[in-house]
Amino acid sequence: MWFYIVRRFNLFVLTVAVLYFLVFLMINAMPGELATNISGHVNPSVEQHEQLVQQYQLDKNWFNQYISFINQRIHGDFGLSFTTAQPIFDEMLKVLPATIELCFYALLVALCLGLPMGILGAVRYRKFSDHTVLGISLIGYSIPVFWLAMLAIMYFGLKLQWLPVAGRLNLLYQVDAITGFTFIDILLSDIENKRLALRDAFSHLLMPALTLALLPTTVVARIMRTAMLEELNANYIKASQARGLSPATIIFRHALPNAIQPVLAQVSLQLSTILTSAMVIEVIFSWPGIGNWLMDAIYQRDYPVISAGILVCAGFIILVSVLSDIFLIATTPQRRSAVYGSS
Amino acid sequence: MARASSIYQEEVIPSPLRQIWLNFMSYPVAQLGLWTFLLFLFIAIFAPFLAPYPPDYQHTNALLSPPSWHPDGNIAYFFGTDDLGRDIFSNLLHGVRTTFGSSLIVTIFAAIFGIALGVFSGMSRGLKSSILNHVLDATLAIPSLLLAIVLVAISGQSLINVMIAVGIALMPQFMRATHTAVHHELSREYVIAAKLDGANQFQIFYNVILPNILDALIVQFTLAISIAIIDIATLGFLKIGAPAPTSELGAMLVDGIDLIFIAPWNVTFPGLAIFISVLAINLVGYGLQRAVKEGLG
Amino acid sequence: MINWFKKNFKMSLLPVILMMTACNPNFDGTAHLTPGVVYCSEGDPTTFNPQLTTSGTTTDATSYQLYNRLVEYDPELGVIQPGLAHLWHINENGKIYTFYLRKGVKFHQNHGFTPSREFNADDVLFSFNRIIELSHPYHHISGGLYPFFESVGFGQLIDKITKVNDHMVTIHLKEKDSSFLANLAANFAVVLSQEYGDFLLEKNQPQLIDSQPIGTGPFVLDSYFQSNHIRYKPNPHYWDGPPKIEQLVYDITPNSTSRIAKLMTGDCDVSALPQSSELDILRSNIKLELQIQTGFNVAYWAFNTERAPFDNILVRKALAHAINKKAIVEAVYYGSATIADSILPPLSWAYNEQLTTYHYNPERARQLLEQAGYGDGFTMDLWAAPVQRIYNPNAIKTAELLQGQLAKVGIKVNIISYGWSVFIQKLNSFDYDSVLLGWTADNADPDNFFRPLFSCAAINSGGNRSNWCRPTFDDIVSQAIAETDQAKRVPLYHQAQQKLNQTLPLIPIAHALRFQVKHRTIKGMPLNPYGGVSFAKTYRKKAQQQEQK
Repeated sequence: MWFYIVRRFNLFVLTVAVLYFLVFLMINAMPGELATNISGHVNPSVEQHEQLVQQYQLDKNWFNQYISFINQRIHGDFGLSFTTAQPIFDEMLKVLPATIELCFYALLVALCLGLPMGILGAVRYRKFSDHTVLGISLIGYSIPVFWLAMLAIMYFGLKLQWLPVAGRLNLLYQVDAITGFTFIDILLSDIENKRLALRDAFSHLLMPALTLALLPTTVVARIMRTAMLEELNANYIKASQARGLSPATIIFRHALPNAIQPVLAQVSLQLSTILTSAMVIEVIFSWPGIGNWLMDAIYQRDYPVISAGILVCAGFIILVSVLSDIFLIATTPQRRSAVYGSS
Repeated sequence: MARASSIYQEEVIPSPLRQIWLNFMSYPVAQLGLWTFLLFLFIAIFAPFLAPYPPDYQHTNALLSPPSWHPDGNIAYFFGTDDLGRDIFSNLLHGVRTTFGSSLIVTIFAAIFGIALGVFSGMSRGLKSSILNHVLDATLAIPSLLLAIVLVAISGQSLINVMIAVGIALMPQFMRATHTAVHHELSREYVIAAKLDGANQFQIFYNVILPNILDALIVQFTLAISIAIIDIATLGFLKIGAPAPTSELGAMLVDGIDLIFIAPWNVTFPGLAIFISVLAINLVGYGLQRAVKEGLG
Repeated sequence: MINWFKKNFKMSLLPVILMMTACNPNFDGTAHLTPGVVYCSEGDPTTFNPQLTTSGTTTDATSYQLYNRLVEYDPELGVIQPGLAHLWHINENGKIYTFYLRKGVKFHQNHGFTPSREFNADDVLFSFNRIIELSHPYHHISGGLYPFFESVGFGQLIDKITKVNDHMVTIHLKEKDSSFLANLAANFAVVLSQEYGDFLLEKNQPQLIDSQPIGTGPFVLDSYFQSNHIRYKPNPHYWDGPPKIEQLVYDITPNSTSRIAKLMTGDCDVSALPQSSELDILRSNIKLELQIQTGFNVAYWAFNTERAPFDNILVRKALAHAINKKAIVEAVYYGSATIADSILPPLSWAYNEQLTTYHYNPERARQLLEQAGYGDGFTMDLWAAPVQRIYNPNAIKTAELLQGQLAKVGIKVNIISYGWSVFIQKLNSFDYDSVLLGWTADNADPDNFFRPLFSCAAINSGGNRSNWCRPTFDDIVSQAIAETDQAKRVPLYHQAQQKLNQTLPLIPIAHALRFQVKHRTIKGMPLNPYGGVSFAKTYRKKAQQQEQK
C-alpha cells in the first residue's frame, strides 16, 4: 500500500517538474524582457534589475534559471501582476475560492443528476429510458457551453427576469471575504439579513452552476451507465439474481458500490474539462473567479499572471488526479496492479 | 468470393472494418449524423460558391434585418443581417468553413503527430517510456483551452495560430489514447506469438497491433474533431480566436451578444450551427463506438 | 425547451424549477433590504487620483465622489460656482487670482490615517505644486505625468502659488488665460490632503496617496476589488451635507449588455453608457428611466502624421472621402449622434459653420490616392480600444465598418486592439498608423477641444494622438486664450478649425448624445453634458420600498 502511495507521489513530483518546465519555456517564449516577464516588475530600476538577475539566476545557464524559477514559485512568489503591480499570489487567493465554489456545486449537481441517470440507463438497458438518457447525454455533450449560457441568460435572465445574470452576490450586501466562499462568508459576517443574503447568493449561483453542470452530468451519466452495465453482466450479479434477491437489493447493495468507484476516478479526469468550461462560464456570468482573472490578464497581456494561472490550474488538476488515484488504491486493492505508468 | 460459383453453402464474413461499417449503417441516428457531417463538409469546401454575398459585405441599407420568415424579414437575407448589414447566411456558411474546416485539418495533423508519438511511447519501454509518460501527464493536465490561450497570447492572434494551439492541445489526447491501446495490445497472446515468430518491432506494430487499435483510433478521431470545433469556437467567443474579417462561428456569437435584446437571431444561428455540427460528429462517433463494440461481440 | 425538459426528467428537475420559481419575488429590484445604490460602471479606474489621467472612467469613479475642486462648474447654468473656495476674485490685468477658502471642511479618514486638522491653504499648495514643481516630493510618484495639466500648459502658465493665510491663496499667472478658472473646475483639478502626504512620506509609502485616497468629497473609499467592484461609504462630515445614501457601490461591468441585464434584474440601480441599440428596450421598461443629454464630445480617427503615408495631406484627404460617416452614425450610434465636420460640437459658441465637408466619395478618394502615388492602395493598422466611451459606444464596430469602407478604395485595414491600460501605454509610444479615439470636454470653453488635443505640448502628455505639431496653430490658440472677450475669441477659433479642417491631422466622426439609465426610484442624479457622475445628492425614493422585516 505505502509503496504505491510513494510511487504515486514520485510521479506527482516529476509531473509537476515537467509542468514547471513547460511553463518556464513559455515564459521564455513570451515577447518582452525575460526579467520583466518572470517577475512582473515593469521597468525595473538598475539595482532592482540586478536583484532580479540574482533572484532568478538569469546570468547563469537555463538549468539554473529553471531551478531558481521553481524555487521562487514553490515558495509562493509568483511575481507581480503587470496591471495592478500587486503580488500575484495574493490576487490568486482572492479569485480561487470563487472558482472552486462554482466547480464544487456544478460537480455536486453533476453527481446528483448524472449518477441516477446512468443507473437508470443501465438498468433499463436499450429501453425507452435508456435511449432518453443517451439522447440527453449526447445533446448535452454537444451543446457549446457558452451558447447554452447565452440562451439561459436570454430566457431566465432577460425574458423572465427570474435570475440575476452576473456576479456572486448583490453588491449591496457587504460581506467580507474571510474564506472566499460566499455562503460561509455570509454566515460568518455580521450583516443583518443573512437569510436574504443567502437567498440572493443562491439565486446568483443557480444559473452558472447549472449550465456548468450540464457537461459533467452527461459525462457522469455515460460513465455510470457503462460501468453499471459491466457490473450487471458480471457473474456474481447473475448468481444473486438466481438466489432470488430483489432487483433493488442487487442494484443498490451489490452492483452500485462496485460500479461507482471507476466513475469517481473518471470524474477526476474530467476536472480539466470542467475547469475549462468554468473559465468560459465565469467570463459570461462575470463570476469573479480565476477564469475571469486569466481572461483579463490575456486582454491586458499580463504575462506573469497568465503563467501563474496555468501553473496553478494545471497543478491543481494533477494534484486531484493523484489524490483520487491514491483514494482508489486505498479502497480497491485489485487496482493496484493496473495503475497507469507502473509498467 | 463469388457466392454463386461456390457449391458449399458459405457465409461471407466481411472484413472487420467492413463489419463495423455495416453495423454503423444499421443505426438510423448514426446515419443521420453521417449525412449531416457530409453536408457540413460540403459547405466547408464550397462555401464561397454557395454564399449569396461576400461574408464581409456591408449592406448599409439593411441593418439588422430579421430572418426571412419574420414579417419584417427580407428573403434576400435568408437568416437576416447583423448590425453592420452583413448577411448572416453568407457569414454562417463561411463560418462553418472556418470553424468546421479548420478543426478537421487540425485534427488530422494532431492525429498524425499524436498517434506517431503515442505508438513510439507505447512500443518503447523503460526510461524512454517513463519520461514520455510524465511529459504526457503534464501536458494532459494543462486544460486544452488554457494551452491555446497561452500560445495565442505569445504568438499573436491569427487563424493559423489558433489552429496550431488547438492542434497542440489535442495531440496529448491522441498520444494517450494510442499509448494505452498499444500498451494494452502488447500484452496480448497473439502479439507475443508474433514476437516469438521473430517479427521485428515495425512488423509487430504494422501487421499485428495497428489493425487491432484502428477502431479505437477512429473513435478518438471523431471525438477530437468535436473537441476541436468547440475549442476553436470557444477561442473565437473569448475574442482571442480568428481576427476580425474572418467569419468564425464563435466570434459571430460573441458579436451577437451586444444585440441580444434587439436581434437575438445573431446569437441563435451561429450557436445552432456549432451545436448541430458537434452533435453530428458525436452521433457518428457514438455510432462507430457501438458498431465497434458489436463488431467484436 | 422547458416543456421538453420537464417531460424528460420530471422528477429530477422539478425541484430545481420550483426553486427558480421560488426565487422570483426576490428580483423586483426594490426589495433589497440592505440600503445603498449600485452603479454599473464601464471599467476599472486606472488610479484613484484624477490628476494623473484624462480617462473618463477614472474621473467618474473619483473626482466627484472622493474629492472637491476649488471651484465647480455648474453645467445647467454654464457658470463657475464656489467649491472649496467660497469666493474668489481676479485682478484687473487678469493675472492674479485670489481664492478665499471654505472653513470647517474635513478630510476623510481611513484605517491608517486620521486627519488632525481641517482643510486649509497648505492643501491647495500641495495639490497644485505636486503638478507644477518638478522638485516636489510627490511630483514623480505614480509616473509623474499629469496629462490634462500638461496639455493646457499649467506649468508654464502659473508663476507661483502663495499662501496668504490659512484660508486665502493667490495664484499668479505669467499671462492672461481666459480658460484658467474653467480648468480649475475640471474633473482633474482636485484638492488632496497635504497632511496625508506628509504622513505617507514618513511611512515611506508615498505611492499610497493615489491608491488609498484621502479627499474632502462626499464619499470615502471603503474597498476596491479590481475588475469587480468599488465600495464607497458616505462621508458623515461632508461640508455640503452628508450624502443621503447609506453606501455607494460601483459594479464594474465592461459589457453594456450585462449592465442592462443587471439593471433589469435589479443588481444595479444606475448604469453608465447604455448602448444606443438598447434604447428602445429601455424606454419600454416601466421600471427604468432613460436620461438623455447632448454631449460635449467628439469621436475622431487620428493619424500618426509623422508616419508615411499619413504624412501626406493627399492621403489624409483621400481617407476623409473614403469613409461614410453617415453609415457609422446609423450603425454604431443608431442615430443617437450627429455627424462631425469639426472637432467642436455645433452647440459651442465658437463653432465654425463654414467648414468644408468631406463627403463620402470613394471615386474622389481613389483619385486623391492616385495623385499621392498610392494608386494601388496600401495596408494600414487601425487601433481601436475594446471599451465603451461616451463619445463612441463601440470603437471595434466602428473599426470594422471603416475596414469595409476602406476596402472599396483598395486599402487593407488591420484592426488592432488591447485591453485599455495596455492600449494607452502602447499609444504613448506612437507606434501606430491610426487610432479611433475621442474626447469629452470638461467644460464649455472651446479651448478644451484645442489645446489638449492639438498643441505641441500635448504630444508628450498623450492628448495629441495625431503626433501633429504646428507652432502657427499653437499661436492662434494661445491668442484666443489670452483674450477674455468672447466676440474676439470667435474668429480665432474659426481660424483654428479652418486650419484643422484643411490639414486633417484627424478626421472628426461624430458627436454623441450622452445617456444614463436608472431605476425610477433613484432621484437626484442630473446628467452632466461634460462627463462626470456625482452621487452627492442622490437618494432613493422610499415610497415604493416595502419593509420586509
